[in-house]
Amino acid sequence: MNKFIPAAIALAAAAVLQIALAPYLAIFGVVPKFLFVVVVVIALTEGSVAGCVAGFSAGLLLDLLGAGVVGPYALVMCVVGYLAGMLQANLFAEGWLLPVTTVFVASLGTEISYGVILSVIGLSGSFWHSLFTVMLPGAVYNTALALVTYPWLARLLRADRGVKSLGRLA
Amino acid sequence: MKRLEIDAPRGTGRPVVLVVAIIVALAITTLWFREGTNGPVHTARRAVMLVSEPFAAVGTFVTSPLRAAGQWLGSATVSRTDYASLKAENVKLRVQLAQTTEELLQSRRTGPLTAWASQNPGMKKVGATIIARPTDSWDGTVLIGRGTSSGVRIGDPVIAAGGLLGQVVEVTAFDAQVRLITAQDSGVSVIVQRDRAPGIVKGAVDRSLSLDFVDKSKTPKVGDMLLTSGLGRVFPADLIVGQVTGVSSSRTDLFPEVSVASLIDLDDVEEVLVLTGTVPTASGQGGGGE
Repeated sequence: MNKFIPAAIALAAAAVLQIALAPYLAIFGVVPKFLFVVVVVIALTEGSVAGCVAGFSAGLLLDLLGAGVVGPYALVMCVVGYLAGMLQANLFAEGWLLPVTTVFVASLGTEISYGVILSVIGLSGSFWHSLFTVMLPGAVYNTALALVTYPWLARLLRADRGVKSLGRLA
Repeated sequence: MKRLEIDAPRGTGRPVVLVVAIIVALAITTLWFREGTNGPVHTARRAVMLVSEPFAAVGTFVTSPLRAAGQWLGSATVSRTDYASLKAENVKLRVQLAQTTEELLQSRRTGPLTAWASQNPGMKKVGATIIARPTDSWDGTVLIGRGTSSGVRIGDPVIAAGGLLGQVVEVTAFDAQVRLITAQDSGVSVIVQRDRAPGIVKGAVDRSLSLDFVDKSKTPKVGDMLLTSGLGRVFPADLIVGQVTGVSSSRTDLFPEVSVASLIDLDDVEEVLVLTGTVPTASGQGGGGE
């Protein structure tokens, strides 16, 4: 059970940063998602089930922090966490390219899926407008965030493997 | 053997967890739509608001020097003192001009409106500060540090220097969530000040404003001020909503495309006023601002 403690700590820290810091890091209204980055890293290090549970928890928190409908983020992020976790077995190579690419693709997928759900329930405007003003910039922003935080998060989450070098974490 | 256990892929091949999570998420979404404002999901949101408030307040406090430094750098090309005073004066004059014009137009209209206005007492106002800003790109709400203990209720309009900021959509004892007029699910019934043409100011996901459903024969002009219409008693009449910044229309358009800018700098606003007592209650009280 101890392996879940670092993941829980990382999620809690991300939640605090999301509430306290992320709103002030917004660029042209695009807010970075600390919670999302942590979910993807948990999925990549712990696997599909942990990614799914972390994604659901983080998504539900994001839903509850906003004023809109509750549930879409939990739905999207549990699926994304599960899918990202399926790559865990392939993350043996040294390097940062695969995790960061995963964060970008997962982030874009999350934003697009969320926008589609909002459109389906009639709460969103133009999809193409959202794609270029929120979805793509958001994915780029989250990827930049992952570049900075991934080595430290991976070190925290993979502490049980005794990895000392940041270069080997990916 | 131990090495193999550590390196083996963990937690894969269990789609049952995913299926359960999807079902629970869909159930929560359904429950959110079907329950009332006192249902479990809405209650959970209020609980999250209460818990997150201290963290948000700390974040606001801690980041204030950084934000001030950012604003300082952003205005480094001109004299900062001059820039700040001119900007403040510009907003003040635009508001004064709009108010003066509105008073002039009001005085020209016939007696019943004036009589009606004099019969209504001044609106009650509660001062508040913004303690949290949107935590997500899709979210168009801010948190203010006043709640039911100060008389704030769901539906109360919130204004800032420069006009209408938004409307209270969720409230606890000590704080309230305000949906900004720039939120994509926001819509404000307005009139064009110059010719009283009605329309709806809508927000967007990129926090821009547009004016919809305006009669083509009364297409607004750049610079026109937009005021709340007071229709439906959602907002009191004559609050400044924004200014027309662009107009385009083709023969095939049913309505002209009108872009609008709020006079409020939503990224910098910190103090607001909540207009309490303007939302009608079941007993018929309120609506003092109409």
